[in-house]
Amino acid sequence: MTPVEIIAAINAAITLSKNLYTLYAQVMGDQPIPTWDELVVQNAKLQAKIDAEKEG
Amino acid sequence: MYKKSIVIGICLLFVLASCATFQDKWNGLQQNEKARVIVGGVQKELNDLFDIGKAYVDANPDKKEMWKGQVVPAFDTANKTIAAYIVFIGKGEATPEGAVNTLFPLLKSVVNLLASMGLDMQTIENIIGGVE
Repeated sequence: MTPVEIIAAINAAITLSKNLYTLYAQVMGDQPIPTWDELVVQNAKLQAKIDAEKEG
Repeated sequence: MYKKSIVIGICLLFVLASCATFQDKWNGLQQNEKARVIVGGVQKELNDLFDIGKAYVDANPDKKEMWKGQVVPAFDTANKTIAAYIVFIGKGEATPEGAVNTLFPLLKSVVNLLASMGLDMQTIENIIGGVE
């Protein structure tokens, strides 16, 4: 593995841990489950990035 | 050796108890809440995959044509489908099964495109975990 691939793998592992923890915490009641309106906001944020990429 | 077995046994009991508790909590959620957990997870993973794909293309400019021509449109379709799901189904009678059946194929198509672009499959699998 190259150093870049190692860093990417570490980043991916951290991302996976964070995502799994978020889902676990939501189900266990430690974190609030997002409302539909909050999900709309998250969706709009990604859409803005996609649109910027399409235009750029 | 005896102490080691006790420690392993306690750890296994702890893991089993945690799984049972998690299952109980999951079963206790309403259908709409389960759907929101799934949609939120898929949305976050799509977001992470987009960032990683963009970083990969920035580091590999020769992949830019495929990124712009195929991968970004796939992200666009997937994200707009999630938006439509949230607006038209999510606020009505959303079920976890419906969320999985609608959204997971989108995630899979994006993952396949990222892999065909040359992004390391192990990296992608680490991000999406057991979603597929």
